[in-house]
Amino acid sequence: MTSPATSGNLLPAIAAGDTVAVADLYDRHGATLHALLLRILGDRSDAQEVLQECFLQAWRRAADFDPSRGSEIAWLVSIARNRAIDRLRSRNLRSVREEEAGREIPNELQSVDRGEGAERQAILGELRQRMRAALDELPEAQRTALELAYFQGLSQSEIAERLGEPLGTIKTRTQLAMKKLRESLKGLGWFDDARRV
Amino acid sequence: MHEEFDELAALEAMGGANSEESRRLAEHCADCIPCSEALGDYRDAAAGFAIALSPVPPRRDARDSLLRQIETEAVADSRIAEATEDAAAAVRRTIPSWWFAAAAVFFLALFGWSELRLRALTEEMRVLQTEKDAISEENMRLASEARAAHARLDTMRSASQLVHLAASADTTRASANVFMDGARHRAVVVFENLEQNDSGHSYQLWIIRGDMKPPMSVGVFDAEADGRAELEVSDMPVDVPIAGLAVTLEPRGGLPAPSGKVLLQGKA
Repeated sequence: MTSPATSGNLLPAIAAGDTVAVADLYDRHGATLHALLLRILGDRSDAQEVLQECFLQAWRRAADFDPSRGSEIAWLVSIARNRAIDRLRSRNLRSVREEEAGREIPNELQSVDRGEGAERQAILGELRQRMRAALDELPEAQRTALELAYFQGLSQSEIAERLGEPLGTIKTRTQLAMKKLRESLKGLGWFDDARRV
Repeated sequence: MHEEFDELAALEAMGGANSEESRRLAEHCADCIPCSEALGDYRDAAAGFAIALSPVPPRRDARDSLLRQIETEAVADSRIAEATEDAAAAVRRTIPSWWFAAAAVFFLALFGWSELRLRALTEEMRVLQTEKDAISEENMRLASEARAAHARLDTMRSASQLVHLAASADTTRASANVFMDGARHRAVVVFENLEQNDSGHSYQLWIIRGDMKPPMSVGVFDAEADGRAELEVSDMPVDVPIAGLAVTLEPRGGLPAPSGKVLLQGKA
């Protein structure tokens, strides 16, 4: 079945009760969110469970989405990350995550395209390459601070403690890294494309 | 673009802003389009960390299970909506329209009554607050008096010398006891049966010196209607030879040297 909202943002249609749009949203972003959840939680069953919760929340709270505050994918990623970090903290899964961090994700899960939205997948692939290029431009110390905050949900104080550096240094480093990242992505036309997928 | 809020936006997108910083940023972005756009960019850039990962498709059966659950919720939601609409329609059919007017009048009256009641309660609270402030002030005054009384008692307990002052004339029963604590240069004098002084005069206590020099004033005081008076001296001279103590009635506030006749006296 084809939803009337197969192009552009699906969330307004979902807010209006269009269940087919949820399926489209899942097909569009499920693999990206699943990869993020696996990276944060390091556990497949937890990642799958949080993914379901994330789409249920998107279904129930789609009306809260405000396109002026960021893209559709940024909204979903934010929901998924917050839920994953909450679970990581509440279940104290850090040790599990660290154990499994070194394990590679099985190859059979790496294939992504089920044939739907080939153009969108191509744009996503482009976005991925450009994001990686922008991240590669960051100094190692800045990238590390961002990754600790993003994937492990560490506060700025916790990062400072982990790296043995003053809190002010870590805050400045995070700000500089984000500014530089924003400039690089702008130069690559990344934001416009991110709002199209 | 405001530099301070641009930096906060960068932190916020990475979850690095504290709650106060987040609140300030949200308030600012509500009125500042460039900063609001910057925050949107930073949020999208943060989402880029997820996009940069190689995608991992979830299990197919999980997708089917999610969609079944959402379909069930959608059906339940629509049934609830239909039932609510039916109930509302039934109410509209069964309740005469004048009931709504009556209900409106009733609620209007209820609102008016609530408003008046609220005002009365506010006024009552203001009065209670004033009373509370007065009680607090009285409490502080009593506490201060209690501290002073404790200090006097302390001086009396640790007095190293007690001097009794008796009336100079037989026409009065006035007397006093002077408790002197030489170590702390303090003294407490307790008077009894003194005639209450008028508003133009004060009683004055003097040290009668043993070196024949003029008397030295120790302090002035007033007697109460019941003839009682207390005088607390916190800087009793210690390098003066004290032969005795005496009390005179002087013009209001006292004088440098005694002018009235001696009413009470005693030897140290």
